[in-house]
Amino acid sequence: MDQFHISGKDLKTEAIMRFKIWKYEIEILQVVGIAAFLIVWQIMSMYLRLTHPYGKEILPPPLSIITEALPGVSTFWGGGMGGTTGTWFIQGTAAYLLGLYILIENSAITTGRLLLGTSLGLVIGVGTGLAMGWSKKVRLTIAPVVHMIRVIPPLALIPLFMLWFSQAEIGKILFVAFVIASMIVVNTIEAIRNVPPIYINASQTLGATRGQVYRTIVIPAITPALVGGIRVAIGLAWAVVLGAEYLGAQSGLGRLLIISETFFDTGRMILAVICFALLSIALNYIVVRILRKRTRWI
Amino acid sequence: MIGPSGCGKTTLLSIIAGLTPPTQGRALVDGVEVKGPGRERGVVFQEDAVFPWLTVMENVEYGLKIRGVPNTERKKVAQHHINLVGLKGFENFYPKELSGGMKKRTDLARVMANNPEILLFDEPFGSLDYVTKMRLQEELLNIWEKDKKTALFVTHDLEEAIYLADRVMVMRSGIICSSIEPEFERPRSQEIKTSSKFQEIRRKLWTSFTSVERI
Repeated sequence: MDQFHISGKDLKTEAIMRFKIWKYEIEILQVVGIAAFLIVWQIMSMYLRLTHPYGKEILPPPLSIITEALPGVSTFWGGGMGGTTGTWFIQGTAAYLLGLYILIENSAITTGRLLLGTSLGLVIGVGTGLAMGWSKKVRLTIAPVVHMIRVIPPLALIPLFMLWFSQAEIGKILFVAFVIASMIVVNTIEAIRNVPPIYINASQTLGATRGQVYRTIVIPAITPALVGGIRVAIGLAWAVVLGAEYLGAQSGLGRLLIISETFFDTGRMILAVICFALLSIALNYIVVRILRKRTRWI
Repeated sequence: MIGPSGCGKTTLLSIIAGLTPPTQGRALVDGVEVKGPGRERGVVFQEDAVFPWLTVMENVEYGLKIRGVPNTERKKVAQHHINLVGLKGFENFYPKELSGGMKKRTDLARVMANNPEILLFDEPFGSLDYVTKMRLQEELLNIWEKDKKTALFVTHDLEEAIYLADRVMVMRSGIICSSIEPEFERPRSQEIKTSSKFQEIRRKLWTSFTSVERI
């Protein structure tokens, strides 16, 4: 759990002290790394263009992601993501702005599905886990179902959810919720099992009733383990929401990715992937900040 | 209560506390059968039992809070006991920021603030360093002197037993096989540990500690 308490800054200070490196060495090395990546990308793109008839389509150069893919996304406006496409052709700055707007709009749609699904999944998962920890009868009844569900690869259920919900928004949210819940319920039970008995004994000898032990000891004691689980769950949620959008959505970054693939537009696909990466980093940052407050005592 | 490890001291204490059901027979406290843990029998454990998610203040007021003592009164009682164990100024610290001795003090204050009728100690100072242990023994006596509650203190440290107790019982294989009353004047200081009377009792206890026969 230590990673929640070491910010980037602390790590840097420590590195400077321990390895006696120059103050800006880390920043310089980071820039060098990114530059090297872009240069290799550029060279590979140029090489493919010279040697392969579809070289440019297979791997467009880095700069074209901004100059071509971004304005190109504007053609997805007005039903472009659905069956029909290519009805909108805008030039110049307007194309850039519209492209950007479409990226942001679809990022918001995907993030919304992810957050709604994850929240619902966490509530159901933690709730079920707590109920199973509380009552032996509930535990013995639900355990076989939980163990059956957890061995199913999540993506295997996408066609089933599509069949049940078709294109309906609730289907994608429920799918994310289902996957997160089945993961977090196991996490919660495991965490409850690992609560040190000494804390429960101590609270009982101080006069706590069964309900009070659960509320004042079990729940705070499992928080650190749950925090770890929630972070993993959110990472998984990105994969799950993307999978759901691949197959059954008319909007969202996953849809943008898949529709770009059908048009053999690698640049727009890379652009969608970049959006995913940025969203994932941003959400992880926010979640870590919120959760850190809950586990100040670790 | 002293005795070699594995003789059943902790099990007996755990039965009295109500944390372990007896395999046969009954445990009576003041004529009432023990049917589970309760706040009238406070326990200080050997392990670190301070709740890490609560501050020192929140730990000490825990027992009062769960039985609904109003906030101001609860804070007053807790603060009094925090001061008693010498943790004034550390009220808002989390256990991770405290030393082993300070955590033990917090635990002690938490049990005392809860005002149990009898006190059970399960080798509470077993894992502390020598100096901290001596200091905590003195402080425990100081706090205990105020209302002289019945206390059962399990240890395997002969000196600790003689220094603290009115009566030292020796347990072997689950049976109390002898007992000695040290009869030192109270309040006691660490000085008595060097007296010849202390050494005499110590030698007697050591004999019954190691001898095979039961008395």
